[in-house]
Amino acid sequence: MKHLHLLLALALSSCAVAPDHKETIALKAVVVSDAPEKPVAPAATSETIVANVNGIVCSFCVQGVTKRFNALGKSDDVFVSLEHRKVVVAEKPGQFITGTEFAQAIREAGFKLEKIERTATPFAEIKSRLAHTESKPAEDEPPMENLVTLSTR
Amino acid sequence: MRPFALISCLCLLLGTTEAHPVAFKGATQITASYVGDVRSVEAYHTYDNGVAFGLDAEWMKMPDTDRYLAALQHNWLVHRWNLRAAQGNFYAGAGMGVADSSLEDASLFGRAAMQADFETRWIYTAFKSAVNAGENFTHFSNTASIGFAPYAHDTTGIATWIIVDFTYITEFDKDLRIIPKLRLFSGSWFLEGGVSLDGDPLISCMIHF
Repeated sequence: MKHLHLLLALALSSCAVAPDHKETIALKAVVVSDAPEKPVAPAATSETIVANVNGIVCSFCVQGVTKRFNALGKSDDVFVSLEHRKVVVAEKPGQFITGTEFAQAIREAGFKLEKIERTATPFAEIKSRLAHTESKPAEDEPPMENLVTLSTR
Repeated sequence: MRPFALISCLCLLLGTTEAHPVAFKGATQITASYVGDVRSVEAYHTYDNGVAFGLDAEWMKMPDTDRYLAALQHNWLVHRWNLRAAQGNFYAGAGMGVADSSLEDASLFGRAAMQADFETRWIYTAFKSAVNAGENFTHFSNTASIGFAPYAHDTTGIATWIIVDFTYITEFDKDLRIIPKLRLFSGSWFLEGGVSLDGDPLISCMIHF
């Protein structure tokens, strides 16, 4: 009987402690993920920028666009589709290209930015989609998920 | 007088082989050209948005002597029309240089130039006009170019253009000079070849970096 009481006491005490312990862990996790100064947050949100640009008609134009984004130092990869008039830029992990920076790079390359969108769709997927589809006047925009239009000012 | 005019005119004629006189900010373009007995090298650097500075040098083998011409030139992109699937440009240029057939005969000349062009992925048109004015000569050069791409190119592979240049240079050409040529782009390279209706071969290459 003594043993039974001891077992019951142990079981009750463990039930009482377990929720508190879980709650403590959860709170710690929230604190870590919300810390604004932690540099890990931007790396996890590296995105792809897709822009409509007017005036790009040849491979030399493409060279200009690529060079300007390389000079910016925040892009991992750049793809230009003459067919779709689109410039696609993959941000480097941990880097964020603002709308103003993007617009300046396009302007310094000598072209006119029409629209910028930010998407979580991987760069390679967008590149593949643009490279394998023909642009149609009625539906110039290939469908992409999670697009967010950015301000260029 | 005539040799200087001849050299300068050929210099301007060679100038028709270059693409755009102003490229993107930070770009340097080097062009080497050969037309008949004339060879040239030119280098331009676009040091800021819409402005480029460079130099060119030409060598020409004439029946009686070799001729040299060297000039510095500044180019401005006066206006660019960035259209939905096309690009139009208006450029202006000014420069000065030295022309000589020997060191004793060296003389200065001034240069003013303009270029207007319009291109899509299928059509290329351009008009260039320039004047070279030296101590012993003044002449004008006008070149119109029209071309088309036989297939739609994108950023990979080789882009092909078939272009015809129509050039008239005062004091030099009695008739219109017509040069059909093939232009190939790949990456940062540009290669051009053709033969004038008079039989002069043309070859030119350019690189951007």
